[in-house]
Amino acid sequence: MHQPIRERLEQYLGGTEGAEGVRAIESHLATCRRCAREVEQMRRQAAFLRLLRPAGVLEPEPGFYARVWERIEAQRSNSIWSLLLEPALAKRLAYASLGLLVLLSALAISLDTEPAIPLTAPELLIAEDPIGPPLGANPTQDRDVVLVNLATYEH
Amino acid sequence: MNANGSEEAALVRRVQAGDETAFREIVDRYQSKVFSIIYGILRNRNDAEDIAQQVFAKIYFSIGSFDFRSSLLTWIYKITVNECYDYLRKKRVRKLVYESDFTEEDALRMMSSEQPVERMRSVDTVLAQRDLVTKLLGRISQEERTLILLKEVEGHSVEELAQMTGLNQNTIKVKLFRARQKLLRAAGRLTRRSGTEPAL
Repeated sequence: MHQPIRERLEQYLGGTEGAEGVRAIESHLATCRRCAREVEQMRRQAAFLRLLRPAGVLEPEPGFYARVWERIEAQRSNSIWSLLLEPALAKRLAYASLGLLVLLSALAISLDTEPAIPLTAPELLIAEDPIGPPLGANPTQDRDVVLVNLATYEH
Repeated sequence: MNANGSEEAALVRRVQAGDETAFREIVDRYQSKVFSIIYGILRNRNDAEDIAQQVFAKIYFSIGSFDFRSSLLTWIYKITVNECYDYLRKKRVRKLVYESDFTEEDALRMMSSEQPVERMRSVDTVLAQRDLVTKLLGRISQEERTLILLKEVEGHSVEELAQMTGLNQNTIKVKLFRARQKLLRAAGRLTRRSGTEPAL
C-alpha cells in the first residue's frame, strides 16, 4: 500500500477523514488497483471486527463484588501453599531440613560418646568409689592416685 | 494529566497502598465495561461472569505493578482481552457457535461475498462470522489485538489511543496497519486451507 494512503487509512476506515482527504484517497484508489484491493479488504475486515461490539452495556449479576473478593481470598490462600510447594523453594527447604537433621544427629552422638572430662582426671579419681580397683592393674591410674594423694595430703 | 486522570491515579495509589474500599470503587466503576467486553468476545454469560471475576482478581494482585504509563482503562482492557484469549486457549474452544449449523467454510464464503456486511445478518451468519473473527484475532499479538479491538470495537480514534497508551500517533498507525495486515494474512491462510475465496 502506498504511503499517503497508509498514513490516512485509519481516519478513512473510521470515517473521520475530511472531505478533501477522502477525495485525494479515492482518486488514488481509482488509479492504483493494488491499493484499491487492500483498502477494500481492510474496510471489510473493519466491518467484521465491529461485529464483536456488544449490543449494549451489560451488567454482571448482583453480588459481583462479593464473588470477586471470594476469589481473591481463595487465590491468596492458594498462593501461600503454592509458594511452599514451589519446586525451587521445596528443594531448598528439603536440603535445609536434611542439613539440620544431620547436625542434630551428630550433636546427639557426640554428647552420648564423648565425656566432657577424661576418665583419668584427678577430680574424677577423688570422686570415685573409695575402694577402687586393685593396685597394679593399671600403672597410669596408680600413678594418678599417688599424685592425688600427695596433692590432697593434709596433716 | 487531566482531572479525571489525576482522580484515577489517586484511586490507583489508594489500592496500591492496600485500601480495600478503593478497590471496590474500581470494581464498581469498571465491572459493566469488563463484563461487556468479555461478552462481546465470548457471547456466553456464565463464561463472562467467571472471566470478569478473574480479571478483577488479577487487577487486585497486579495493581502494584501498574506504572501509570497507560490509562487505567487501557490496562484493564488489556487484562480483560488477554484473559478471554487465555480462556479460549485453555479450553481449546475451536468452535464458539455451538447452536449454529454454520461451518467455518460457510463463514469464510459469506465474508468473501460482495454483499455488504449489514445485509448478511442472519443470526447464524453473524455468529459464525464472530466465531471466525475471534479466531483470527487469536493469531496476532496481545498488543495488536488490544489496539485493534480498542479501535474497531470500542470506537476510539488514533488520537485517543495515543493518549490512552502513551504511544505517539504514528506508532499507533503503524501498529494498527501491521495488525490489519496480519489478520488478512491469517484469513488468507485459513481460506487456502478450506479452499474458499479470501475472507477478509
